[in-house]
Amino acid sequence: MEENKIREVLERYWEGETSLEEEKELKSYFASSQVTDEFAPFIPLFAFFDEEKHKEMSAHITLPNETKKAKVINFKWLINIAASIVIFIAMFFINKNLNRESVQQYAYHDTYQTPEEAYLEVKQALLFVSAKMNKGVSTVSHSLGKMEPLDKIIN
Amino acid sequence: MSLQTFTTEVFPLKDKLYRFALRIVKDSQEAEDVVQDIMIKVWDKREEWQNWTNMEAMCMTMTRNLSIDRTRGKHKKVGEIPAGFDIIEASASPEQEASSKDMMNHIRKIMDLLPEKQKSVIQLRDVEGYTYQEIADLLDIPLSQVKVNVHRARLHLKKELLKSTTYGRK
Repeated sequence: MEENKIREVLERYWEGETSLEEEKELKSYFASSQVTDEFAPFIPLFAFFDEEKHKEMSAHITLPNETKKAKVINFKWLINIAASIVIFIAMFFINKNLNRESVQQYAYHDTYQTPEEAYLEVKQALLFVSAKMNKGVSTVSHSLGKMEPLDKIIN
Repeated sequence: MSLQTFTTEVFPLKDKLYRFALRIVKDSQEAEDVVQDIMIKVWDKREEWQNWTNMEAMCMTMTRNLSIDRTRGKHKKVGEIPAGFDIIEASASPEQEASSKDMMNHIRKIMDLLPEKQKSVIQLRDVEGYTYQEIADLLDIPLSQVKVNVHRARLHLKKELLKSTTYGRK
C-alpha cells in the first residue's frame, strides 16, 4: 500500500472506524519490512497483537468424563477446611492435656495422706463452725429475753 | 453425544479463552485456572446447551465474568501500578532501548493499565478479530459503547507509543 493510503487508514484506525479487512491490511503492512519512518513507532503495537494472538495454554486441560458429572473443586476452599480441621484437633488435644494437668494438681497435692489426718481436720472444722453457731444462738436468746417486756406491753 | 459436541466446539476455544482471561487476570497460572473452571462449568450445563444461540460467545462471556471475579478477590494485584510504568528503563544503548522485547513489555504495561472494558475490546478486536456486533453481544453492552471503548483504547495506545519513541530518540 502507498504511504498516503496507509496514513488515511491508520487515522481511521485510531478512531475505531476501520473494517476488519482494513485492519488486516494494516497488520500485514506493519509486519513487512517496508514501513516508513513516519509509522515506525507503531510497528511494535501490531507486532504485539500478532504475538498475543499466538499465545497458547501450556497446562493440560482435563476433559470431563461423560458418565460422571464433573465437580468444581476449589482447592483454596479445601485448604481452608483442612486447616480448620487441623486447628480443631490441635485444640482438642491441648485442652485435654491442660485438663489432665489441672485435675492432677488438685487431686493429689491438696489432700491428706491418711484417713486419720483427714478426719482430724474435718472434726476441727466442724467444731469451729459449731462454736460460732453456739455463740450466735446464745446472743439471740439473750436478746430475745430482753424483748419479753415489750412483748407483754403489746399483748 | 454431548461429549463429541464438547470436544469439537468447546475444547478448541481453550487458547482463545486463555488469552482473554490472561488479558484480564494478567497471570498465566490464574488464566489457566479460569479456563479449566470454565470447561467444567460449560460441561456441567450441557442440558442447557440447546438454549445457547452461540456457544463461543457464551464461553467468552463466562470467561470474562469469572476472570473479573478472580481479579476482585485480590485487589492488591489488580490495582497495583508498577513503579515507573511510564518510564522506559534506561538501558545501555538506544539500540537496546528500541529492541522489540522491551517494546513488547512496554505495550503490555500500557495495556495492563487500561480500564477493563477497553482491555477487553482491544483483545477481542485487535487480537482475536471479532466484529463490533459480536463484541457487543459478548460483553453485553451497546454497539456504540464498543466503538467508544475501541476508540479510547487505541488513542491511548497511540499517545503512549509516540511518547515513548520521542523519549527514546533524544
